[in-house]
Amino acid sequence: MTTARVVVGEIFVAIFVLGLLYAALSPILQPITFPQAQTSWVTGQGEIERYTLTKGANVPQNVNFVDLNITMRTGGIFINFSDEPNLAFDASFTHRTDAAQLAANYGVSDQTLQVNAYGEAGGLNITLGNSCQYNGSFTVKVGGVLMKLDQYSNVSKLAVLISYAGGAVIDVNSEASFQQLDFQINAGGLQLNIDADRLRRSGTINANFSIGGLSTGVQVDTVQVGVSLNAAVDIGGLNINDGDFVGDITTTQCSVKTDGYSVAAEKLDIKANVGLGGVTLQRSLLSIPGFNG
Amino acid sequence: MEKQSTETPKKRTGTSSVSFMNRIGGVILAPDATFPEIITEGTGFWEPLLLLVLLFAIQGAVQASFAYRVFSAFASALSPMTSGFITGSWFSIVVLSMIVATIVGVLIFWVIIAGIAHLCAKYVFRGEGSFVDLMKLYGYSFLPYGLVILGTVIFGMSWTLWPISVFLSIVATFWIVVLMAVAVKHNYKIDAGKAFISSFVGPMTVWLIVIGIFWVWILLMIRSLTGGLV
Repeated sequence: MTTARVVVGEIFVAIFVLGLLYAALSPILQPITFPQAQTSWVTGQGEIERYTLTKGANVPQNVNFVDLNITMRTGGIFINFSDEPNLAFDASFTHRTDAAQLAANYGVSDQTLQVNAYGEAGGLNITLGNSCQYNGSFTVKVGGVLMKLDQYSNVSKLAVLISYAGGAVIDVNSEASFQQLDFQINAGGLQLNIDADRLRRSGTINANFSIGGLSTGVQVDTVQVGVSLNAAVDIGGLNINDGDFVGDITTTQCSVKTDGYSVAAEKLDIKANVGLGGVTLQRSLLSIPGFNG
Repeated sequence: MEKQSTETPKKRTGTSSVSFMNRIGGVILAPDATFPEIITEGTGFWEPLLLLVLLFAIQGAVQASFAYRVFSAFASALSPMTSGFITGSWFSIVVLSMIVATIVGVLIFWVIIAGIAHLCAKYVFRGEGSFVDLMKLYGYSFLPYGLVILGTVIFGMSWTLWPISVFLSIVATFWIVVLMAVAVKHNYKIDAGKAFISSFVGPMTVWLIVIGIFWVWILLMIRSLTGGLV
């Protein structure tokens, strides 16, 4: 009988130990999860709507990559970067009251946020954060794209397509970080303002024009940033007017580089193909009035 | 002349842990034999006290860990609205409070029900016994509460097993009531019926009276607030 009593006693003590172990370990080994509540990413009505995706608010904190697929039928897209680490995507769309709203959606897969947006007519002002790497495309049928790449930018590959007519203005400033920018412009121009003492990584800009041209202004510290321009014009001409650049120049083709290009810390390679139009290169260009640099 | 022998329980030997297990097992398997042993051996007051505290601390910890899991899940689910401001760690103070409140609550409960049973057995049924010994026996009588711990763990592992948890809780409740009646019977040397009345009917009657007074008070409060309309 004594043995049985001891055994039963041990069983009860074992239950105590089990309870203690379960209390200590269950929050780690058996966490409960509920579906995450979603806050609306759209605010505002009427002429301006705002779309905001913030880490920890309506997208997971572990989002590190953002794929953008933005299309405008007519109008403009303005892109800049901010120093907000939790911001993944913010866009305000300004349009006429009787015009259609932006058709936008987003989804998250692993660490990648995919944002799709389509606007009929209006202005789309996009602000991106500094803790995600951005990829994607901006398509405008008729209109323009303005982009400012500064110390907060972190771009892997972005493509800009002007389907019919329009243009793009790109500012590349110090500490900008991008790997590849592609421009496909049917009729229109690309103004490239490179004003950078340093770049965080080497990058490439590819531009193709059917009708139009490339106008490039370069103001760099050539020890830190080596710039090359390889351009070809089918019908039209080239104007290279920057003493920092050396290389081969003909009336329709050029292959020029800044002094000390090969030993520069980071490199920026510009490649342009123009059907009908021209290519210009000079030390600096005037800033664009009204563009919030 | 036939020599009358008085049967006294033998003092058990062995290590303290074995005798502790022996007492626990004895309360579960043979309370009629074990309770007189506990009284005769003069087992200290600390053992049942610690046993009681341990039982309800563990149960409080299991419930608190369950509550913590639920709260953490809510905090995580609502993080888009709270910007991650509220986290599971906020609940630590609630967890600690739950455990402490459980222990304090059960100690108060222990004294009250033992006190009512003592008053009933000693002064109504004229039994002989000490209040401190009854407290000790009542401490051991809570041992089946281990089944409630087990039921809570089972429920925590899978919510679908709630019938087992409920069953174990019911068994534990009846078992504790029986053990308390046995404890009163041996401590005051009264019959089982009187012991049951002292240990269960007495406290229940007091409880019903307290609840009745509470509701009468509530009714009077409402009447005074509504000017006698209700």
